[in-house]
Amino acid sequence: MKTVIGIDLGTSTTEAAIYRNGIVEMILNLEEEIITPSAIGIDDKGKWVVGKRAMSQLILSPQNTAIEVKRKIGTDSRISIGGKNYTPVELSAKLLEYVRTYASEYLGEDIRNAVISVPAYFNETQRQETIEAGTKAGFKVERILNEPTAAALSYGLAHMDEESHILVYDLGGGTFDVTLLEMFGGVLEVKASAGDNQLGGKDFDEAIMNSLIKDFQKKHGVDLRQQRQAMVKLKEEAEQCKKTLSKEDSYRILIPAIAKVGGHPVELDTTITRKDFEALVRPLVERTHKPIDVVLSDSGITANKLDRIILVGGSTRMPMIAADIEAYLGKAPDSAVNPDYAVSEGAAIQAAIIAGLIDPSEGLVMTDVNPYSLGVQCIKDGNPDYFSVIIPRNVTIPASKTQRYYTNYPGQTEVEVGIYQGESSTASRNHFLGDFHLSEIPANYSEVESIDITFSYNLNGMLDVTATVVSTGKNAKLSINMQNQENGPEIPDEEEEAHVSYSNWKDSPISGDYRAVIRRAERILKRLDEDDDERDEIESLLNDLKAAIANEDADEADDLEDDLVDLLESLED
Amino acid sequence: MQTCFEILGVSPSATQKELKRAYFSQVRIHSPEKDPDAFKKIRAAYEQATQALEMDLPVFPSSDNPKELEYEKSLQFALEKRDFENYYPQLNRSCQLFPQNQLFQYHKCRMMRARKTNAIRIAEKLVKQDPENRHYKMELALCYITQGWDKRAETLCNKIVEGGVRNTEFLKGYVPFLKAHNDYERIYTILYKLISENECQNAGYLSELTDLALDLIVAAAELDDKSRQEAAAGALTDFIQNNLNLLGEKPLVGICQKLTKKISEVSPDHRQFVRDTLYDLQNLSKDRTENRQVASIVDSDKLDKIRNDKRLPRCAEILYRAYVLNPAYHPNAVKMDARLCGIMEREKLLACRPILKKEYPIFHERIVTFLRAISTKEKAEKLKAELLSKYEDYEASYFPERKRYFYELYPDEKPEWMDDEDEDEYDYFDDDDDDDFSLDELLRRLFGRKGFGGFPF
Repeated sequence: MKTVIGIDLGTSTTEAAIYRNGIVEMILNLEEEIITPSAIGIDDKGKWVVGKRAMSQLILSPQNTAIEVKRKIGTDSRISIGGKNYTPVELSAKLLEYVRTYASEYLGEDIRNAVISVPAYFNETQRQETIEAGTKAGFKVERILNEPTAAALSYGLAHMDEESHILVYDLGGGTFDVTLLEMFGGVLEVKASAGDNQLGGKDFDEAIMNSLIKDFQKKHGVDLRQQRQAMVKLKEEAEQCKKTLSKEDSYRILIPAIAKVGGHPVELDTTITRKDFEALVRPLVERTHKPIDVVLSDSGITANKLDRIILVGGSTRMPMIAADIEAYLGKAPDSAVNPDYAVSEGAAIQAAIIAGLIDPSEGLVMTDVNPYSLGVQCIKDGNPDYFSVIIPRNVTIPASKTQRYYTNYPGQTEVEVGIYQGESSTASRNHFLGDFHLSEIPANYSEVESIDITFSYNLNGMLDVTATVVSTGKNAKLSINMQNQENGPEIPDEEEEAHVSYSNWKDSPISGDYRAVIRRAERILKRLDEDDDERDEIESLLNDLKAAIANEDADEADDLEDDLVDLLESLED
Repeated sequence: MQTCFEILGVSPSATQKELKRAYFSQVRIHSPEKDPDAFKKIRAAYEQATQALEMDLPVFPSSDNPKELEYEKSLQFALEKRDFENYYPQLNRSCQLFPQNQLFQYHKCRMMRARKTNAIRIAEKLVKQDPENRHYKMELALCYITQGWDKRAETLCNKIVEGGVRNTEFLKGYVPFLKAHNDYERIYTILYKLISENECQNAGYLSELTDLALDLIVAAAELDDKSRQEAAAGALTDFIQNNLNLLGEKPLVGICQKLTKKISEVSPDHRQFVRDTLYDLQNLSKDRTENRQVASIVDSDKLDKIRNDKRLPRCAEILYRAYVLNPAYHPNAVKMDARLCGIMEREKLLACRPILKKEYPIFHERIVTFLRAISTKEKAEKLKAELLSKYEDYEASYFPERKRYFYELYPDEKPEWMDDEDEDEYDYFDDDDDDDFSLDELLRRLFGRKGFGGFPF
């Protein structure tokens, strides 16, 4: 039986664990510690350093060190270290190589198999690149496991006889995931998953930093963003500030000689209270509400039916997070799992299941879901860019589903199948996965020949697509994996379509509600003299209203309309 | 091959919990790790069985014969696309090729019934083949109803509803049948149970249930029983609130519009309850725009009420229109006309002020300044003179219909800067546009159908 370890490859920290002798054990790194900072760099001797050693050189040589590489995985970005550019995959591979080294040393054997965790809301590209990083590091990646599911596994193993609905709230360094699971009959079933790939503890640090940079700019007229050294120091202090404010009520940030102003070194000395901090980050916390709503409505479970809310990720240590959850869901979260270790523990449990150490008929069984809808681009009602969903989001995987499509014009003999992942009804706004051709369709009238497209999605997020001409049985296939993928667009937008602004307010779909008021105002404007005071006021309100309509911002438009009506009323009485 | 229930090892009359248990114990044996293909089958069976249970749908075993399976698949796709009409010839062929296949026979029966063709023979055959199958009985009952065999329909339906029924297709055929026989008691009992105990999350099912929920309100209205009406209203509000996010875009607007139409289906003496339910639907939504649209539907209905309220003077209607019903969209000319009418009926208006304050608080709030301005005879005369002096001014430049009338009569007076705007968006009274527009006609419209006997100025 091979030894498989579980790895939590996080934005700020990395941990590894192993299941043996019936329990989960955290693996110590070469510095005898459980937590390895996710930092990679090149030291002054030109050697690669990872973890604590890399973090320690961050302040002195930031151009030779990289942190939060996970935030860039799945994108085209390159990170510069020591003057050379590296891909996020290459750097993550270095980190995983370090893990392989220390795990092998700790366990006394050459470790070649691992289960690596990813945020539940990672898209295909991000997942495939994580696998690639693992492979580059010398691992066979047995499974990519969703982080909240891993945390739930860690919880579930100890509570197998429960029948409950569990919400996992995972606010990590760079990503936010929410997963709703049901524990029933020894099976842990993920019902729905959602998240925000650009929301994490780092954003809270940045909120503090932005506030400090703004104040500094006001006070000294210097933009700290231009100075790399200053930024590194600021970041460190901001992070420390955030962490301390979880326990204390205020924190003094003191950075002597942060920058030069007019030739003299100037210090940054300011105190931030917990109240200040909470006000600064309030918008970030509110961003967590939408994925929670999605997960509740997709699973059909209302907040009052939740039995347990589990917090995962270091950022959940902030008291305002627990307070916000209690306010929003009407239930307090509990600390049933260790927020720093739960994910790697869960990964280790999954690793043990794969290695055969935990028999499903006696131990825990888990089912997971796909967080993004999968479908194809097709023509519907004249719209050539329609996204037709074949496997909707939050469907239990592995899953296979088929949809039937028709040829679009008479005599059509081939189709191009474009495969996308995402929630927008416009295909091109979603994340592109791949495409292929199906030809030799019998020429016929339009909408007579039917083509069945089958999607098979497996546990590792591998998607197999088959398109079959129903009348002849001829088919074409495509497997979406690294080779066939484009390293392309960023993380897809959420359900709502990207914000569109119309150049002419009259084109906006919401303009109908406001036309009468606008006409009335314009008529009155014509009657007023050039130098009437009210004229300016009406004009500016009118312009703002038109702009709000062009932005499809109905709430703003309503408010402006009320103001305008009041103004017009007072004029006419 | 087996039906989804057989794959999971439960009977079709199992509860949701039993189904869940069966599914999970199967999953433990064929976990997605060890046996992905078997798991997929089990999962698909579980999803189908859950849906069938929640929405009270029939299930059929899939065929072993690959050719037959192809036809079954085609039928499934056509059903998903709701492409019935086009699919009919294919369905006939399927029935001919595979006469034993109950799936085909069942849907053929449905399609024939939809075309009002007599499908009783097919339905009776199905019931004979499988006497325990509730859904075949439902189909037969619907055929009886469609063909007007009332007595048989009644007997059969009584048997069906004994065990409880949640199939919306059946209910949509049965409820009108009961209505035609004035059996509101039964409608109420069945629908109340259905709406208040709903646990399903399927959007299509929920939207059908919404229509049935409105029928529940109608039934409660006809029954004229306070406690049951309260229960029904409560069930409706709970239903909407629990499912707001699944009912589509701005669902409350659609619901209110439908409910408004239903008012006319209720006998005149029992309409107040439906109205009250409609008013309670305001502010249920989190979306401000939706609430406004709902409010405007409710307001339009209130206008009816005001128009029919004998205690109020006739000017109340036009005042309501001008001040409450989307005041932004009515130019000041209308407000002015309304105020002039109010001045004319001053005494009556002031006399029913307490009624307004109590029963139409929003309306009262809006016209309170005006009421103050006409509280004494002197003030009223002053206001009247003011308004009349502005009247000539407004007449030509403000009110589009008047403007059109004026410039039609005096085309030389039309200044160059006046653009030919498109007037068709202007929805003043929601009345049909009338081409021959005279001032009298205009005044008649302003003061409602009862007429005012000429404008006194």
